[in-house]
Amino acid sequence: MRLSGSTPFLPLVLPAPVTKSPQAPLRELTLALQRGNDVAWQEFHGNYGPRLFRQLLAATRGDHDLASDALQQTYLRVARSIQPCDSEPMFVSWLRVVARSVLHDCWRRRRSFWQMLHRRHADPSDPALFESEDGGDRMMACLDNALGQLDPDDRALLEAKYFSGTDVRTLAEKLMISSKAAESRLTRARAELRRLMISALSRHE
Amino acid sequence: MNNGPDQNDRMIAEAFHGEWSEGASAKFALAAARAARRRMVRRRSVVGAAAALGMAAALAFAFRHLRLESNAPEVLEAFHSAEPARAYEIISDQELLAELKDRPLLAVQNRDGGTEFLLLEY
Repeated sequence: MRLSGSTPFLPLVLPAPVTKSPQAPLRELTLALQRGNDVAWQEFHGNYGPRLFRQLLAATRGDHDLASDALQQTYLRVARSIQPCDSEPMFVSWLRVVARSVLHDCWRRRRSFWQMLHRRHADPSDPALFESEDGGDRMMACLDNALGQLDPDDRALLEAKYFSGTDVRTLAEKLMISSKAAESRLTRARAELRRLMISALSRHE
Repeated sequence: MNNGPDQNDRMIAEAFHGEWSEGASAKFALAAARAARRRMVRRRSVVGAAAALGMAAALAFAFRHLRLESNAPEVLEAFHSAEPARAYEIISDQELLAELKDRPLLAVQNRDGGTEFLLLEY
């Protein structure tokens, strides 16, 4: 559930885009990824990258450096092992397994793996990594809380951008500011959201 | 308002990385694309080298087989010439009489009743 914006000067709900750009059939995409096609990889990054990053961020409890490192390694491992695939659920499951394996390797390298084991030993009730199908209800709750704590203007800006699909130029027009100013405000809103999420995620330790 | 996971994921991703399709994270995808291309080139090189090696081996085998066939008569000749020379020769009655013509031949009776022939040479 999302909080509705309360900003008087910003339209609350703008129509969502009808469809996103048509996605190549999965088989064609995976074949193109295997060949190293730049456009296919950019499409993969746009469609699957955010989900992978969110899962990694949840598993690392907000350690975005580690999550980013693991995301990059996940992409490289996908490049090494990908095979043509027709099934979206199967492909997504495979990506999750690859990401989990990469994260474990990253942990071992960073030694924080041992810290996690100690944490598990100290508190056996600690929820498991990748505990649920979509990377953790905890992550979504954390996002909801962080949005709730944001300044209403910032919240409305983020909701318009991500939930209504409004582009920056249209946002700028509605706010009667320049595109550059709108981007700056968006960057500040994201930074604040990030700060709140890291604080919430690390508090679970 | 209930938003899909894609929108939440995008928001979270861009909260940490900025514009997802243009920022630093986009370079991850291009790096992975380069890695995939290098891997394809390496695989093609290995397959090509293996094919060339196989062809070379097949040609070498065929060439060796041709050489063996062309040397066969020499081998047989060498085989036949390797037979040891006999210490005797079997000849016919006519050949024997032709050899003994006008040559003295002594017939000796042995004690056991057999006959031994001795050629008397001048």
